[in-house]
Amino acid sequence: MLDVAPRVRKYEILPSLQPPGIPAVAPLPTGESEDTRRIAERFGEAVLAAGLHHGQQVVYIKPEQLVALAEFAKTDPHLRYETLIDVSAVDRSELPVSDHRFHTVYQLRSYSRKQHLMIVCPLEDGDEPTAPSLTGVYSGANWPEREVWDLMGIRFAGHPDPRRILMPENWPNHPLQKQVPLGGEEVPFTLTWEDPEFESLGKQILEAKSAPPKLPPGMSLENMIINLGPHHPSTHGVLRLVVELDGETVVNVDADLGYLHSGFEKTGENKRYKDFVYYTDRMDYLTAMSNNLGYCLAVEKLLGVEIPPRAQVLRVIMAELQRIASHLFWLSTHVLDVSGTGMSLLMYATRERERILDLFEMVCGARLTVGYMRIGGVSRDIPPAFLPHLEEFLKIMPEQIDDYERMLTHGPLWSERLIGIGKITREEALDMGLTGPMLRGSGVDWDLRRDAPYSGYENYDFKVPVANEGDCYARYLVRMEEMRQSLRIIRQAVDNLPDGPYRAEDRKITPPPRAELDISMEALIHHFKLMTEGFHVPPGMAYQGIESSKGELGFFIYSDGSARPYRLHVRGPSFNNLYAISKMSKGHMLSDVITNIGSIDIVLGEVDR
Amino acid sequence: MALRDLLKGAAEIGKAMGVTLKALMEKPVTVEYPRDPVPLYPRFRGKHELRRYENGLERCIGCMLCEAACPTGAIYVEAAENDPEHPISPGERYAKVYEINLLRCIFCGDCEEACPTEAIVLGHDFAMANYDRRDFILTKEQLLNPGDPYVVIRPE
Repeated sequence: MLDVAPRVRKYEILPSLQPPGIPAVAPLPTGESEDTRRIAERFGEAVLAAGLHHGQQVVYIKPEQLVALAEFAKTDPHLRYETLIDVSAVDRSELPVSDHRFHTVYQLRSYSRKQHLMIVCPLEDGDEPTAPSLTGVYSGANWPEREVWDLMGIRFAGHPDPRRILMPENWPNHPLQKQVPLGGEEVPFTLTWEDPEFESLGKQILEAKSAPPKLPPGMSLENMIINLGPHHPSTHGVLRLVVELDGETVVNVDADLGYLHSGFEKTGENKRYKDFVYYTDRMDYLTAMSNNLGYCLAVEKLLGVEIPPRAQVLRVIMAELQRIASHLFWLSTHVLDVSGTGMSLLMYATRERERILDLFEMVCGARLTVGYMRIGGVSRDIPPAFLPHLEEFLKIMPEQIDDYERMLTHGPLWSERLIGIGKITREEALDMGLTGPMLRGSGVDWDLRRDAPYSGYENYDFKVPVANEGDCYARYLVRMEEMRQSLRIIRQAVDNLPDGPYRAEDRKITPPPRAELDISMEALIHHFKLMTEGFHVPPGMAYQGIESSKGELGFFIYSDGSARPYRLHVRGPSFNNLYAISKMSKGHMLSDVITNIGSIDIVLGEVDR
Repeated sequence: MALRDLLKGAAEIGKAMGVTLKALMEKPVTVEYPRDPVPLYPRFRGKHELRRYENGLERCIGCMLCEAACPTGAIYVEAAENDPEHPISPGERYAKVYEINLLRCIFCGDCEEACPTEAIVLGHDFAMANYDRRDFILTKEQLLNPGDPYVVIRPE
């Protein structure tokens, strides 16, 4: 056992003032849709509840019938839910309920029918809560289920690889269970600096106990085993890949994650809703704006607040600029990884990304960890110089993308390294739950911005690039075209930027304008209340996915009516897409593993969260 | 066939070289920092400052709203009653202790947004390196006298 188990600090047991009726359980779904009626008819007694909740189709199913339901949803010609998007779980021990402590929650997606289905499975209580594994139906359930086991302590019967995934093998608890303390340290100030509690600050280096790492399942010492990472520049962060090699051919790849695990979900459950916006910046730090947007949309779904049109358009402009910035960074590092001679392209792409970061700095004062969006709108309106600078950017950018393409697209080195590498067929992509350019590169025509529009994306005219080859080159082409389409969206957004407020005028959610503070007592009260207690979100649960630059970024929030999320789960596109690395790399050369990592486009801050 | 591929590849590489040659004519976009300062925009969120009114009174009235709003708990405020003869701030109370732990601060700007008297603002200083962890705790003295950071502000 490790000697780093978190201690309960005194600031964690401060009493919190809760009005009566809080915490409360999320209400059961009401009404019905075609799909939920079909499922209820087929499964009868086993369906505990089915219907709509915040416009989402939700089905509560008994664990015995879960696998049968997933199979039915996947194969039934009227349902056709091809993909499992996400697996998460809720520990209900602090809710006013006495049975079924754990619920597992599944998000299914039908690309052909443009439908989303949430399945909730209340597990039987016992020493070892166990849920049936869905890996037999959707192989993409593998990593998400391992994550739920690791962080929530729920066993999955029939899982082929039931190891921990983020925490160390010998970690003493399952951090997301409610009785596990948050841990952490009090913040030192000059008056407490002499406190012996802070003596260990900055010196908490664990003694390195050398233990031979276990051989990942399915690997044999007959072949050579090498570690790629965690300190390797080509793994884009602290990713460790255990690679089994026969000569220079890859036989097996096992990813070891968790070096950057920072417990975002646990932290989020101990913060007010407004505070977590800044934490989302730091997950996928290359797409901070998109992370802000996804989180705000999920909370707004629970609140049912209406966002003013100007705020929606500003959000779209920022999210699309962020997509271009992220793709530019992906392109430059990918070129550097693959050819080793792409230094000039790295410089050019960084130069253009710098313009976008300048725009961000101009509007919100930060370049990377922007924290620009707020629940109910955005934090500030754009300054007068923003639009002229953006116009200039829109003018030069298409030419720059052409230049990048001139350097790469038909280049013999580039195509040699990318064509036919890391092939994923359409069926495999659906089965593994891949999203974003990974999915579109394999011939699935799906984009959340077009097919499940949010934040007013239905008002824009843009194409969704799709390629059928499923190799690294196809994904390269998809991303290049996405940058052009993003420019088109920004162009339309700038042309149709409406006037009006930049955040909702709901004083229960957004603070009043500063000018009102000096003249209105009521405004001052609202301001003080929002800044101290925050706002309460009605009980319920919501899943909101957005099309981030890397794929579907989803936030699942379970609210108990208080000012903090009861359960906050992040479905990161990098995490789910990285699952494909093993399939993509088998049978190829070792150097192609590097190409594949670059082509998946991961950010470890989000993989490990 | 092989020769044609070779020529085609050579032509493509030539095209790529054309792009880099074009860049040869352009002016560099890089800044020789720290010799030349990096230009910032007015909204830049850097090191905190406490402001005063023009008559020298401190703006901070010790309401502790910044402390409550801070997502990471990086601010500590202790308020005290003003002496009516020699007030330190225009209100009834003033901040006796005001400290910010920069190691915990995430520079989100919520303190700025929360402050009802616009006393605490995020300034433009971004060079905050230090040798000792204790030096990262900004005291009220340091916050009130921030000094001039070595930056150039661009027009918004």
